Amino acid sequence: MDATLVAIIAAVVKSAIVIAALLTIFAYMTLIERRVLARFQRRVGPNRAGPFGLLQPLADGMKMAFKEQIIPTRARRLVFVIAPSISVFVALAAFAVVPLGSPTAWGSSPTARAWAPLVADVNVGILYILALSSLAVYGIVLGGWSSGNHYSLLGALRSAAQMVSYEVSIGLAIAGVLMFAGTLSMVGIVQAQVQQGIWFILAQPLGFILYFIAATAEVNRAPFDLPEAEQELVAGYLTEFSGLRWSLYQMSEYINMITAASVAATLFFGGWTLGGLDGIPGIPFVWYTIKVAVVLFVFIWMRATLPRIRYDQLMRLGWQLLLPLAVLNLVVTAAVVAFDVPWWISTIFSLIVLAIGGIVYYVRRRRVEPSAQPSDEALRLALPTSVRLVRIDSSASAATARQPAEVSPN
Amino acid sequence: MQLEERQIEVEQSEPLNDEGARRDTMTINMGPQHPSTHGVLRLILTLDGETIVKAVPDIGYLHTGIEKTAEDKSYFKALVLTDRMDYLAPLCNNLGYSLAVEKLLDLTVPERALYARVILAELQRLASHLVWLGSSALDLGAQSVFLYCFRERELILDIFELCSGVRMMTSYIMPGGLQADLPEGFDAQVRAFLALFPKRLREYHDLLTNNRLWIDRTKGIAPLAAADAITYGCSGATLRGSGVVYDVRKAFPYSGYERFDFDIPVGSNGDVYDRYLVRMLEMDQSLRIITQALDALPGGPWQVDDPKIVPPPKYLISSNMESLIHHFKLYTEGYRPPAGEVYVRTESPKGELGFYVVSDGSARPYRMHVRAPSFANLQALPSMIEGQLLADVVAAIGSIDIVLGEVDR
Repeated sequence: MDATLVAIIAAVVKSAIVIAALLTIFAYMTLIERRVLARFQRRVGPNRAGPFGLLQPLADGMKMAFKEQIIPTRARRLVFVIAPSISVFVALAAFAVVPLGSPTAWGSSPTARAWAPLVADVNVGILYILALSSLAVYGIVLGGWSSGNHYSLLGALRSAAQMVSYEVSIGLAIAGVLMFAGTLSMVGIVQAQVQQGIWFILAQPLGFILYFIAATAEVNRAPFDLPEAEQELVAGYLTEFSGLRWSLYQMSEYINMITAASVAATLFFGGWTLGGLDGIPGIPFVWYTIKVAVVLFVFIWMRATLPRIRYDQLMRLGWQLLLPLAVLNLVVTAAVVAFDVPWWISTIFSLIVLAIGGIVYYVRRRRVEPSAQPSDEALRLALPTSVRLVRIDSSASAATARQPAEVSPN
Repeated sequence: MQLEERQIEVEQSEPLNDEGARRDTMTINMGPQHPSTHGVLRLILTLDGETIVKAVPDIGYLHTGIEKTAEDKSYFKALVLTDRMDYLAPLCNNLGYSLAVEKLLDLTVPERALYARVILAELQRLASHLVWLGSSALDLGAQSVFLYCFRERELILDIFELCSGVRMMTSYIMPGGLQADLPEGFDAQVRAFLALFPKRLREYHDLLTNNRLWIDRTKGIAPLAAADAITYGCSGATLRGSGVVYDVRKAFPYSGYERFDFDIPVGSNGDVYDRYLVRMLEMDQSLRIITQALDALPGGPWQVDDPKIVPPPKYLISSNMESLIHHFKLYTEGYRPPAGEVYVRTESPKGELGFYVVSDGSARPYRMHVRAPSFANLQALPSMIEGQLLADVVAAIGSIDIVLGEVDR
């Protein structure tokens, strides 16, 4: 058969598989998140539908499908209907370049390569992901704006500002890895890690932390879930959406999360590789899944633990802390790569920066916050000076304060 | 229609900027159906971007007419209405009402009832503060704290259920004492709670008090100056957070509070963080009071020995003619306090809860007015949040700890 034809058929089939798989994973990701979150919060979580609640996503999906899809009277109808699809489209498309295994997993003939476990080995893969995740903001902004609801609009504006700001930090944070790898291809980055014998998180701990924070903001996860902050904006840009359109937004959020986790696994944790077992069919996919699952678990963990950051603080964090650190990391990495010094120089630099950060945080906290005011013995808390315990001799005050204010029965 | 008129009214009174031109503002309607207005508070917010230019609270969505209804009930029966005002602290409402009626009747309750009331009121304060802590943390996105707090609150509600058979609307404290004696196992259950709770409180401190994100979201947010707090008639932690040393339990001791050794936490900045810490430290003090009261809890009667005020025991009703008559009279007519008016103030978890009861000598209150702390504290909200960001509004609402059932009563 013609190699081009094979490539086209393979691409179509693999796309279909990836889309179907992502939709399933999304559904089960919601279940996992709810169950894990429930564990954090000493609840049980959904466990009624099927064994361990395994049919819950199905039930949810059916419920969503049969719900009325309300279009508010003040909505811009066309945009309102299209917006959720934009979000889902870019979320699904971004996943195309994520490698789930080696491109030569089934051999190196053109046919075998066409069926390799990734949809497309684009030589600018990471740029492609960044580009599409920037587009994701359109779905949210258009959806929020077209709802004709003030809360939605506020959510959309927050989202726009947040994504634009953190896009920059993400780009700079992963630039260090790209320099080490010397390629923008996702497959190339994994292979570079194999060749150099390290995971890039070892060389780029600072880059990883910056990436992780920025990615959390980029995919609107807690504590950066401002666009849909339910306690402030009801549901943000989602407020007016119902039924399947609502679930499309949820879908895009979760798929974005999975993509962000996949990028982290690929760039910093060696993607599908781990040790010598990689040759056995199926094993690379297991490694990949485990790595992504760990990152996703951390996302859920953060959601269970941290309070939400405020909008202006989010901006400050992005522009005044993450961005300068990312630039610094970039410069040092560039020097390490350019002068061909060993990779651990950049590790040491990263650790020094993190240590300084930790010390500054600790010292500032000590200065601004508690100054060890002794309070209740049992608690032994270092409390801020702003609050103190006042001791009142109640018998004395009772005597002086009794007389006025009280109206006696006449 | 009325709603639209109101909104127009708000929009027309938009503040002007320095050049005298109208600012480009947006009016949004926060509540009454909103996840974090703690019930059915409605805030009409005028926003410039995300900055609050003007805030107008609109209340009355939970109007229950409790004060008016009380005029149509005998003193004995109006008690159950008070449960439903601050539904997070029904026992404290019961206590305030009972003290007012007892003052009208010039009654002195037995020692056992006095101590039991203090224990229950302080447990109720803990339960109420736990709901406040959980919900205000939830408002700022720390959702797990909410469920941890409810876990401990459930233990307290179990104690109430043990006493009265009901978790929330207990009506357990009544004019003349308690509805029933403290049950067997009460002491053990409270002590078990006392042993457990400090550890849990420590966990909350660990989760929030020194958490950078929490401090960023609360420190310096929604400040309320001491003078303003007094002017608005704030009380409770909202007032103390601003640095005013005023606690009814110390200033006008009631129900034997003067016998217990406890301190009053007082803030200084009047921001959300100080109000938060004041309440957190109050929980410690409540534990101290409960421990002391439990150690000193005497035996003996738990009600006044007056069948005209409290119903006679069930076993007497079926064997004693006079008791049956008392029972019948009490439930059909009730007692008639001498004509007069009283005002009794108590420190509820929300602040100064006052009961003003007027008697005209009949079996029903001529007038009952409740000085609701949530209502007074809510007045200070607009001045706190104007100039702050939208996200701070929920922090501010959480920090004044209002219950709309009490605001609208």
